[in-house]
Amino acid sequence: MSFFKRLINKPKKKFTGETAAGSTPLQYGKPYSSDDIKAVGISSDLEENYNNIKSILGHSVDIIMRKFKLGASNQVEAFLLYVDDFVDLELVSDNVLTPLVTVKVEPKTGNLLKHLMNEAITLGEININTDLHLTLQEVLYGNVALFVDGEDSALSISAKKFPHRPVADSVIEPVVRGPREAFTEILAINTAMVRRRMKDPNFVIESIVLGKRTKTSLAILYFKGIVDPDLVSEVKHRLNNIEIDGVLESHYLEELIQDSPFSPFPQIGNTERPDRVVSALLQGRVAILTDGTPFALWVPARLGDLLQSPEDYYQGYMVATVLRWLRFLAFGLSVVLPSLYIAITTFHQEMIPPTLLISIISFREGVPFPAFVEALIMEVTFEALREAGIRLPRPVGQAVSIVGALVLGQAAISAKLVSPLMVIVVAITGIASFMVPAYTLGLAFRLMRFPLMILAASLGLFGIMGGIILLLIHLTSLRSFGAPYMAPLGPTYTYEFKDTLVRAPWWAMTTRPSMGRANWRRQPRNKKPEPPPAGGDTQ
Amino acid sequence: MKKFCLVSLLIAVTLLPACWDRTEAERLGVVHVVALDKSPAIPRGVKVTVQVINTRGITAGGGGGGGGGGGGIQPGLTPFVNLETSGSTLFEAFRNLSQTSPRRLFFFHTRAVVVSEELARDHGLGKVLDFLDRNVQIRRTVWLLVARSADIKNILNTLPQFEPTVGQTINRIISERSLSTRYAPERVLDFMRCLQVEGGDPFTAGLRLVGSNRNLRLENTAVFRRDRLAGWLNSRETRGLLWIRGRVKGGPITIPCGQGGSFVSTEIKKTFTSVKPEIRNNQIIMHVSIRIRSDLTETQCPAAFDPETYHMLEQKQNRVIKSEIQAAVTKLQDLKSDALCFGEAIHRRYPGRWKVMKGRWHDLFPSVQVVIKVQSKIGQSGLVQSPAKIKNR
Repeated sequence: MSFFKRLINKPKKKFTGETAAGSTPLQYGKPYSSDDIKAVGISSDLEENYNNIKSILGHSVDIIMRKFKLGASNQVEAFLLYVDDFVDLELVSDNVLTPLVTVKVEPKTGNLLKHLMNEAITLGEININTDLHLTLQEVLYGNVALFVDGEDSALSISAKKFPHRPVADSVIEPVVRGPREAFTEILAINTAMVRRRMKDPNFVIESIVLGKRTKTSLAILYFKGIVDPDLVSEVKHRLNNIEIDGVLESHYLEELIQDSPFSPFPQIGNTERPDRVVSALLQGRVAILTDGTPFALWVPARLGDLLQSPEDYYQGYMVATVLRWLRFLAFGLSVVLPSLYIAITTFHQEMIPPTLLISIISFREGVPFPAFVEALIMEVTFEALREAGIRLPRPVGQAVSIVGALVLGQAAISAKLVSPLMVIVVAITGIASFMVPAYTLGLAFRLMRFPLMILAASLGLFGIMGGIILLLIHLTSLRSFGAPYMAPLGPTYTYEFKDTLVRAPWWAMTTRPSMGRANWRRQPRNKKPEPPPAGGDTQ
Repeated sequence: MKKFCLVSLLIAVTLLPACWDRTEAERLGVVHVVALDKSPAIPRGVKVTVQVINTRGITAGGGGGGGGGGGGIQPGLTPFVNLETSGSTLFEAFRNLSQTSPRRLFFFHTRAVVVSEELARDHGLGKVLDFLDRNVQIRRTVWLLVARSADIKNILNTLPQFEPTVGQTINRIISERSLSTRYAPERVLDFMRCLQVEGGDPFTAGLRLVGSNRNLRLENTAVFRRDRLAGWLNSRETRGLLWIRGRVKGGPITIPCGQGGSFVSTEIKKTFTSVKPEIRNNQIIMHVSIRIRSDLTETQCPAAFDPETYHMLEQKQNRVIKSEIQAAVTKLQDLKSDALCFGEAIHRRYPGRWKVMKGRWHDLFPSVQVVIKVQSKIGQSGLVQSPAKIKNR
């Protein structure tokens, strides 16, 4: 009983995320808010600083505080503060410690820290902080802080070195032809990879920090002069509105900044390919890179954009166009094929060609379940296999594929649990759904299959039609950062057809899509390669 | 609240109908042929025989593990089952079939409706056609054929060699009809359309069993006076009928050449028919003019193939076609059946006079004079010009 009472009389404490401010003296093991730390400040007494920092950082083992004597003569007490393995120790030793120990320190020569900064330390990124909070923050980002006795500020020196993965091939969006490298988990490397592809000074990388605890850095990338300035401010506005504990992956942001949070459809594109980011920026989009994940976000992302693969631009336009159509077809199939099968075989048999009907009947002979249940069994099995295939540890991979292919496919048919036609239908659907280049979009539509199947089983083709109409109504009502989701079809932008319904050759794609209207013309017309005019430069 | 209502409405719409009119495919009995005959028991009743596909008798591909290895048909099972009932009306009879069929009969894929000669002659096809017209399942594009009553049972029991069922066999044969143009099948739709116009009687092909193997064969043409069977045209007369109706699309023409017993064959490539009525001194004259282009496909005459020979052959071909048409006209005038649709042509040309004529058209029809004009052109003879000469015969 008391449990229910407790549920009803839930304590209505307001959660602030911060604990109540505690005043000095600082105690070990107590949480401190940023205001607390700011209030503590940097004292001119070195020993006090040392103790304060120890208490604030909670004696963590990876925090290194190295005490030493500064200067060749007139020695002054000082200590270095850094996080183990976050800094390049060799660099620090050569460029910070050694010069500091040997530097000449004149007593009372004005600002000692400025003197050290100018005379002793031979590293580029360096600044003087009077704020303890900021200093500690920078230390936790990988800086080295220098505290000197008698100074009420500290030097913050950048000598970052993280443990990280090297740049590797793209795993999620592989291409046959085209750049292979993909983003890594380190933001600085990722921004460098984009910058390397765009040397224009108008290409801007802005930084913000998100996540109350993780303090994750984000980079907002856009191209001044192409992008709509309103879009940039909207992106910044939405990002700054976020209040979250931690950002471990860009999807954390995606859910917090998308236009329709109740829609299963992704309204923000994600990619791990730097070339895709650059192409998005050149179309007038904004990209968001997140530290700690190789997946960059790009907005606005419409349905048509999510059905494009970067490889569309890396091969002949005719091939790319046909492949795009194939993708549209596969996309449609992956949504409606199982429900179409159910509806036609249980309600509209007259639509089946006679010979096919006979084989359907003979295949279904002895199958105990109605087509709907049969389809559900197979679809669920397929989804389970797919999920297992992703999650399973590598060494057992083969076991699952054997079980999946042989036991569930062949044996289920021999046992007359499902008909072979249903297996074909599910297999085609599965393959088709993997043809959608945006994995998240493929997932969303795979989800849509199930309600459509229920509709098909209860209302036949009429139900499918109704379901598709509802789906279309929903899709047309979606927006991605203000851009209509179904554009250029929803609101018809005929000038965008050249890069949506087909993939026009580069010399014909002279204008940017709708979000790049600020700087619409991409390149001059009439740049189609042609032979020189006859009789032009004959000798 | 609004959202909640909408969502619950959607769920209700999807779940409440609960698949009430669902039929799983394997619960269907696919009917391929419907045969209609006079009922021996019920006076003026109809006996209905349907041929239902028995999928267990057809191994489709190799799904079943139990069947024989190589054979297409499982031992002991026929690829079809014939069900039979009678009733005063067709609908009653069709519904009575459910007393014997464990599967719901499915008529959408019916390939042919076979009507017995006796039913067509004695009862007329009016009531049959009304049912076929109203019924949703039997498509109006189904072929209508006439067979002898005694044959019907055997026709349905034939085990076709090439196709799994009789219906399929009939359908495939008919789809190749312009290779011979010796029988004139009609779809239910066209048959009925013909009954609904004033000057014209319907016709359709006959179905028989021939030879010691009892193979199905489509031959001859049943011609009707309104909805009753009037008689039969043989294959030569059938061609004549089709010439006048402008429905010859192909087929061979055999032309006698020179010495007795030798023939030349041509294949019809392109035809054009025009029928123009003329009333002169109360005498109805039909001007039938036919233009035809054909290719030489075989010759038994050793004649050299020069333009004169071609010209001669063309003249002879004209005579053959003319005689076919003449035979058809004579026979149809005998039977008082205007399958040639002359009445309709007169109706169009002389609508005023037709009003007077139409009441006694079947009596006037035999007195119609037909003037036939044939113009033919024999074209290519393939790569071979003159026939191979056999030396030292």
